[in-house]
Amino acid sequence: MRTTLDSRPTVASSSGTNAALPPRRASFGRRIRRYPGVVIGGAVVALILLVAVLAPWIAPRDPLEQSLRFRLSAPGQNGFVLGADDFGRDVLSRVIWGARISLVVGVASVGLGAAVGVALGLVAGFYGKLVDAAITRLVDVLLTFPTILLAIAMIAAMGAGLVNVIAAIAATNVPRFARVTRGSVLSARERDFVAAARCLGADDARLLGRHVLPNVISPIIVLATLNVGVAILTEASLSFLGLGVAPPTPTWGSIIQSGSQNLERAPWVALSAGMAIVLTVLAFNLLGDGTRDALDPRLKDR
Amino acid sequence: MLRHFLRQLWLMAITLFGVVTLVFLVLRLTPGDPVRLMLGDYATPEAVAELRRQLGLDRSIGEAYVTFIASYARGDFGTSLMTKRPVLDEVLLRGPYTLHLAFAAMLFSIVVGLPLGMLAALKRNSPADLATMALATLGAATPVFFLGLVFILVFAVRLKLLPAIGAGDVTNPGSLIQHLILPATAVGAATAALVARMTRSSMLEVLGQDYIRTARAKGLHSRAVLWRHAMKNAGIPLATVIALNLGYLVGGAVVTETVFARPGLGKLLVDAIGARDYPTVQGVTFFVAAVFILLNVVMDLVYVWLDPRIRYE
Repeated sequence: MRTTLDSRPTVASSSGTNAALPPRRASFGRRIRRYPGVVIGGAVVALILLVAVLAPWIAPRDPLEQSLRFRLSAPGQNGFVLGADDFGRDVLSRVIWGARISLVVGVASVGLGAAVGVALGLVAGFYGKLVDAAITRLVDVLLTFPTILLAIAMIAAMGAGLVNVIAAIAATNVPRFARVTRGSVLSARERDFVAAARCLGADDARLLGRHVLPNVISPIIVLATLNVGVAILTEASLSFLGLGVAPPTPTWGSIIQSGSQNLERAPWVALSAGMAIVLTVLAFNLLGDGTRDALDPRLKDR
Repeated sequence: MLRHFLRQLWLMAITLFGVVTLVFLVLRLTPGDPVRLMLGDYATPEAVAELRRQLGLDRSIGEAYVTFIASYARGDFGTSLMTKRPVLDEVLLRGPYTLHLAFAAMLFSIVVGLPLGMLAALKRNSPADLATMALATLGAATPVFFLGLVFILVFAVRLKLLPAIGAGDVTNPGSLIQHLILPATAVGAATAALVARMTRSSMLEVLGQDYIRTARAKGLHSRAVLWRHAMKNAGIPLATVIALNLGYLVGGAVVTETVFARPGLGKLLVDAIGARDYPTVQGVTFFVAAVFILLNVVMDLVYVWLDPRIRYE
């Protein structure tokens, strides 16, 4: 067995839960219903998305409006549902607006990282040889950095800000998508339908786009869903460290950061934003796990 | 085996080279003039020229790259702009705090995750199983810095059980350990969740195998079946999950140090970014990545030792 720094040998084995397999001919929709994680996770994600989109209309106050005489008001006091922070800003409104940054960064960074990573993986897996060796080596180097360290190093180079945060987190996603795609392509390109399409005169672009990609897409979808949660956690960490979107724009990480200064007197500031992160990441993870189970029932119970 | 080991060392060397290149680019990619950013608007032209020379910014990118690699190869990581001391000294001073935290967190994740996962597998679909899995799912969704803050709030501020800030008195092991408990638990919690999930699923798989049935059928005590037959084979996926989480542990330690004001490498890195101390940012990034690569090589050898079935070309 050939190993690199990060492709770890594991003992291949099938799950011992064959009894839980859905009937072979179950439709996609039926299978989704069998996996309540998809429904619950999906519903919560949809709800958070709705909150983020409707933020200007549903937030009770302006998230930036300061009123120092109400600073650190407790939840329920002075009309602040979740209390006020150290500038007297409404915590609920800030958490609602913060959902925008989290979702935009989470989805955009994974989307961008997936686009680049899948392209690299397709090329590496399809062409093999020197191209493959070069891309695999690059992926290995990127994977050696712990996610947050790579993101921090990139922010250190490029500076903070929304676009740079998205780019930095996208960079941490690229190697993961490249690796997964490459692996799937390696097995897909040997299949008969690819050879058949080639015999019919399809060029490389058509082979990759129309024949190989559709057959390797499900692990990519699963990885994307699961990685949105990780991306949201990374964005929150960067914001918390002061390396994210600049204040006073409310982000969940920066709300927690400012809340940590008054943890003893006003724990609700940090707790509200923290709960929002946990709920959102939980929902994306449930959705991701459920999608994985539905698309590949063999992996259930993993 | 020796060939495999040599190959791993070779790959490690290539990867380290890539890391140095990335670290080099950190300074070169910076938009604008990093020296102006570092020194501010009121620096004398002499100071600016001196720092440009020191950082190699007065040379072409190719020339600067060669010099950079040569100095890293010599073990010269430059001088910190914040403290005016060699970056290497700073890293060696702060490194142990981060290593203590990462290893304590790993220990916690195994000590807590392993028994919980086993319990869940043995009592499958019981309330204990569901509770463990719910906890594991929750653990994976909680940002480590937030968990750290909650711990500070509950155990330090409210219950006044444990210290919240700092790393304790270096000469007093008791104080060092006391200061480790909260951050290590915060960093280790998410990994413990993954260890529990992984242990559960690999135990379930192993318990369904024929040789377990055979062991039971021949009248072996259930505890003996569990420890002698099941655990041994569940160890490999467990080693995988720990290996894959080394990065998470290191990264978690880096972020958590800021929460607990521990004077480790993560705090140093964040402070250095704030102060635009690029040599320190580069040195710390390189060091953390290098240690991480080394740990990965070690884990790779642990596999071979754990599972004789794994053979390398």
